[in-house]
Amino acid sequence: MRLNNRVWLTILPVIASIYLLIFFSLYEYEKAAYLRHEQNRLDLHASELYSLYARYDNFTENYFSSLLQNSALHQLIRPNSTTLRGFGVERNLTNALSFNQDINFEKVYVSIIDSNIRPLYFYEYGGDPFAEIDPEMLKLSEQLFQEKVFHYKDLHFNANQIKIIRSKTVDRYTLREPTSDVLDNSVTIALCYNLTSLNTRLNELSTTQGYTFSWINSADNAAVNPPPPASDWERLQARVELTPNIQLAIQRPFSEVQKDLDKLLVKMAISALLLILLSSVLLIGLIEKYITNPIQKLEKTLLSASADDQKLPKPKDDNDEISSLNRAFYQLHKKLARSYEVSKQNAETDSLTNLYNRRKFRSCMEELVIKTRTAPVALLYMDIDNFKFVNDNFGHNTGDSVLKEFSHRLRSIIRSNDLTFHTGHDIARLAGDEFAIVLHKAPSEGGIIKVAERILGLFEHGFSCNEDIYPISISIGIAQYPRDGNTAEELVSNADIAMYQAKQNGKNQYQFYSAELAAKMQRSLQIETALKRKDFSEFSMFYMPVIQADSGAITGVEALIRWNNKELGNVSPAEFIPIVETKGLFEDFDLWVINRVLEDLPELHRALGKNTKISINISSAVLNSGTFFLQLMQLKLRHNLIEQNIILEITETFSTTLSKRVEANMNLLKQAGFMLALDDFGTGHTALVQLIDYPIDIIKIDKSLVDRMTSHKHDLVLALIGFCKKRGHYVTAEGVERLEQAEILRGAGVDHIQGFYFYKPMSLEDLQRLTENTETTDNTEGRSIV
Amino acid sequence: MVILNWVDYLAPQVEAAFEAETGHTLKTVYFDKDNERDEILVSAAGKNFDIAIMDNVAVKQFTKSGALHPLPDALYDNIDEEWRSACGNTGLPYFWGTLGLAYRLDKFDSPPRSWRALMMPAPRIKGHIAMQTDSVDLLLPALKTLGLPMNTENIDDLKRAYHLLQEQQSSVLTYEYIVSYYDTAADKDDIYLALVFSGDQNSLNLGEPSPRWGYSIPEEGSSLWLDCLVILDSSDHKPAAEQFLAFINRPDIAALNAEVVGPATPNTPARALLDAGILNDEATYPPQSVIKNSTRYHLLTPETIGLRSRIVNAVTQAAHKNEEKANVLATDAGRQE
Repeated sequence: MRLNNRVWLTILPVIASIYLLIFFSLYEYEKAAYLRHEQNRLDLHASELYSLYARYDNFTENYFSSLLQNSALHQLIRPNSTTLRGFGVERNLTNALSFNQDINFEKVYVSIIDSNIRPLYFYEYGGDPFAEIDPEMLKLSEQLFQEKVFHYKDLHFNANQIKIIRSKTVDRYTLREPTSDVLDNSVTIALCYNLTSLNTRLNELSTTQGYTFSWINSADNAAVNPPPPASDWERLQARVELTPNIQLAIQRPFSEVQKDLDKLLVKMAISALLLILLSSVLLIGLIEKYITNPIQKLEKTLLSASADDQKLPKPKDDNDEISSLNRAFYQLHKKLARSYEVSKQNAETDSLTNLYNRRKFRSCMEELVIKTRTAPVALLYMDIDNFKFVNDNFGHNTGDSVLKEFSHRLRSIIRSNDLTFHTGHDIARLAGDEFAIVLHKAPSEGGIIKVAERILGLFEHGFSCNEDIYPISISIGIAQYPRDGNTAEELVSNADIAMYQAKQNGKNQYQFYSAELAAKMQRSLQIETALKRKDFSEFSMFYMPVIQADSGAITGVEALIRWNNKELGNVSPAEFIPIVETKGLFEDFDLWVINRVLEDLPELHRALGKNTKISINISSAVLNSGTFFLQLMQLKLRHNLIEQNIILEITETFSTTLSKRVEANMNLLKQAGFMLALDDFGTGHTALVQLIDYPIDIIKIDKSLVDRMTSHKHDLVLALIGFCKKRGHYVTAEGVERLEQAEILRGAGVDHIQGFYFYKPMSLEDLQRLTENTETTDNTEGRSIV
Repeated sequence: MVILNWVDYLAPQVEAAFEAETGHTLKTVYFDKDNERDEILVSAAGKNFDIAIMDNVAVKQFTKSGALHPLPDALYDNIDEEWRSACGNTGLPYFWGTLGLAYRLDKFDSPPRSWRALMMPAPRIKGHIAMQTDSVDLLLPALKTLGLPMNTENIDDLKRAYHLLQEQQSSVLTYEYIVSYYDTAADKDDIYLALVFSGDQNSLNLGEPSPRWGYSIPEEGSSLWLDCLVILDSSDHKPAAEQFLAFINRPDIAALNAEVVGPATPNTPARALLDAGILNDEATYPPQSVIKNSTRYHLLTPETIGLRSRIVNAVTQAAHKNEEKANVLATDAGRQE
């Protein structure tokens, strides 16, 4: 639920309950006050009516007594009165009535009735001069005579008109109350008139205010008018005693009261509702303004804020909770953004060098390729050569220092002024000693070469770091977009290929990716695939005779593997042996070769004699193997090999340092009766000092050294041969193709020579044929050194 | 002696002459309504008076109740035969006259000849009428207009007359006797037509440079009134009173009194002493035809008297009420202004 709705739901019921409670109480109070007020009004009206009545009553008494004192009247009632009787009576009556200013009446009746109930005199003031006496009056006087009521005053009601009747019965002679029971000489003087003002007032109150009136005769305690139902009757009424007998009750009918109360209730309810609404709206408005809106604003800010959003508005310094919350969030966000930055960096960069890591590099590449499309992009894929050497010999800390230093310098190079690429670049450390540079909108090939050479330049005299110089170099593969690939993946892979080729080409160089390179790579792949099938039936063994330098006699053969693949045709060992070695196939191949040669061994012995030495190439890697020696022993057993004329040739290029295991393996081989030869010596991989430690019998000088040897420039080879000889090694020279070379080598004291000048490698059959021929032709013509 | 008299009804010269001749002093108390006089005399206050002026009907009434002192026969020798017994033996005929209309000479081209001019007035006369409150005289114009007898005791006749009076009421400016009203009222000039006794026109014309009022006796006939001097039985100065009556009855005094006061005198020898101009004034001494056409007042039954006085009260009170209402309205209007 939204905060604003919740505010409504929270506040409205509370306000409504409170207000309703207040208004209910107020209503009860008002109701009571209203009833009190109504009662007061009734009382007031009652006293008003009473005072009205009192004025009439007062007047009645005054006028009636003056009437009784009136001499004209006395004349009138005197028995046997003369014609003058009645003279001035009406005048007197009229004057008295005319002068009255206080009392309002329409008509006043004065009647004198004798004991025979005969009207002696009748006078109607203010009315019709021809009016006659009311028969009711006669009836009343008859009753009064009968009951001997001489003084009478009462109120009479007729159709809501109240009249007062006042009478006195007097003796005509004495003008006093009759004393005896004989009333013959008595007359009743009666005054009667309507209480006009009272009647008018009653009528007014009844029509305009809705009051009802009842007359209660206290003698029989019965109301003259039928009273309204008890419940209403009891509610609001006031009574006033007009005469000892008559009470006037004035009441407001309950229905009227209820109507007023209902009106009051409705009025108050409406005001309550309005107040509730007003208060709620006001309160909620204020709450919204000062509380929920700031919260919502904060919420909006929070919702829109993302981790990398640096533009989060700085909160105000107000001293309220929301500002505080805002500040707290701001701080939190700042921290979060910072830690996001850190983790982003961690995710994207290499912790050691602070360069991009592989993942980031990959995404950069992808983004770049997708984004740029046509813009040329250059990718330089680098791998430090022989870095393992540093790690192995100087420890990983040093290795790390070197990597860091290299990264640093790499950055400097890319940033150096003359190489500035305004369009940007990415540098990444992909793994271990692998690095990559991407140049956005790559310059011309010349420019790229400049970068590559600058990088190579870092390793020109070894890599110096922390005042040390490390013998490492770098190989760089370069691929360009879109020329060399349409996708990042392709580009990376092709750069990798180029780099690999650079390595293949002897490291410490850069190599542009090319289609030929790709084809070569393709072939390597095909070779690898074929090799992995290990279909040894495609392989066959050739043997290259090795001749004794002195005699020129064949003293041994070097077993060389030949491979004829259905698809690839003849594949040279130079092509596939490195693959065998790098792809870990060497042990199987070596064992197969050994087994194969051992199978040929009886034939070889038959052809060349039992002393013939058989050289078999093994991968230097097998010297690290734990199983090779055992398997070799099994082969030896199987072939019942007793003679120890087997030479195992280990290529000098092996990068294996002289580990304990290698040394142990070499010693084991020697103990098992094998002779060990260091192959390809002179290609520069083996330090001379290492030779001292190796339990080597024979050193084979590499063809490259022999090739370089001319008549003028052979000192180095001769010195080397001398050195080896002095160390007690047999020396064999390889790749001799000219007589001149053979002469020099022979002169240098080389023990054995092999090369095309003498014999090419040949099949066992050809070898057998050769030896048969040799036996018949008594040695070769001209080839013999001798 | 105390005389209860109408205003201007005794010549001051006569009064002075009597006092000079006899040494008695005369004190005159005035009344202006017959019934007022009757009431005074009937009441205890009646005992304060020695001599009173009364119409001949009242004389009969008072005589019946023994309130009047019988007069010596010799007093009547000078009285016209036709009037001699009109006051009985307790009243000395004093003046006689008719009831008629006083009209403003400048408002009427010719004298009004009918009671209708009073009872059913022309529009321009409405609101300019003065009436009286005497129970007989007030009813007379109405009864005459309706062709009814003046002294009727028939209730229906009286009812018709009452209704006519009620109808006339709105045209009446005042019911006060014009002679009294003329002395005091500010709007006296608004009265164009009034019910008066013959001779009243002279009072009205007093002080006017030229006669303003005329007197007319309607053709329907009028009443003949006769005022008498009476000595109250309760008087303590009866001999002096008789002396006064005798003095008044002397022809020279009667002639002087008639000349000063104005109405017709019933004193035969006195008339011989009067100017021909006075005697020839038909308003005072109407021709025989008019006299024949006129009715004398009768003594009515107490019931009729009572009824008539109630009618008068009803008419005048209603007028009074209307007047009050008008006053209230005027006051209210004044307040609002």
